[in-house]
Amino acid sequence: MKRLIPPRFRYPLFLAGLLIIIASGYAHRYAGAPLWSIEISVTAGFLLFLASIVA
Amino acid sequence: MASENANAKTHIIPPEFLEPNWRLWSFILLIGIAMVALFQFPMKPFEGYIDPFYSPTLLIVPVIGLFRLTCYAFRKGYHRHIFVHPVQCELNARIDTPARHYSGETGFLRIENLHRYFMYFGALILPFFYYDFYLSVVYAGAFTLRLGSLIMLADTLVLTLWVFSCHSVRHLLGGNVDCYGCRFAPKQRNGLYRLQSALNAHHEGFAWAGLIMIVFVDLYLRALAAGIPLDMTLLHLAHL
Repeated sequence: MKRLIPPRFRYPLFLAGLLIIIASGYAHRYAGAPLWSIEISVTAGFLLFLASIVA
Repeated sequence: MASENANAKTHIIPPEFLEPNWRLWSFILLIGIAMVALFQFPMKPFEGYIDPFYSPTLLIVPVIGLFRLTCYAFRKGYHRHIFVHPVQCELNARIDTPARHYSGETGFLRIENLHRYFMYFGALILPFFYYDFYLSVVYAGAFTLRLGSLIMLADTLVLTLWVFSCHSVRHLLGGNVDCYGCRFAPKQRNGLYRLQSALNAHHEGFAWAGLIMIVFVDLYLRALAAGIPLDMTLLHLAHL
């Protein structure tokens, strides 16, 4: 199956996706970031994490 | 080849762990941060939903983590993408150097041989996930199928397929048998072995799908608890 993401970018995307998700949680809890912005950042983080595995 | 193996056996800590490799150390940091975050922001049961990371307790996550880290599917992933060694199976494509031979399951990485025991533990955890699904559908006092319950069920089924398609299960069911005719119920056992072998061919897919699903379920339930209206009732049978 043809993969879209070159292997060398797969781990950086995996790491970035999960770090964005965790950082969003901390931003919401400690920096009072609004829920709508957390929704966007967590969705973006999850999509990066997903892409690093399936794309 | 013989000298390569002799070299590998001298390592207690595999050479991959002694290199200034940002991928490895960032991964260890990520696991540390994730564990701290899971402890710091516990997800309490919410409207009948129980987060899979906290079922039955967060304390088992390190053991489940070891089950994942010793799984063949994830081993392939971290050897290729975190250690960047070996990047392929063929000897001439591994990027081996005299100082950096592939040492396999030696030294510290002997822990990869314990996968079977982590698998037993993983199989013991699965009933908790089915019970969590049951609790989520009877939460309202009657059978109520919600979107969250369906997602939890999908997660549980994928995790079940991952555990039971494991290479260690294949060994237990028939891989350890030299002569089926000499054993009890040979046809049935061989049939089970063949069925499991068919599942085993997709083990890597189940492993990654299970990881994606468990992260998704956790985020979905945290979103519900934060007040984001994502959930919906699909079926409500009040008179059962």
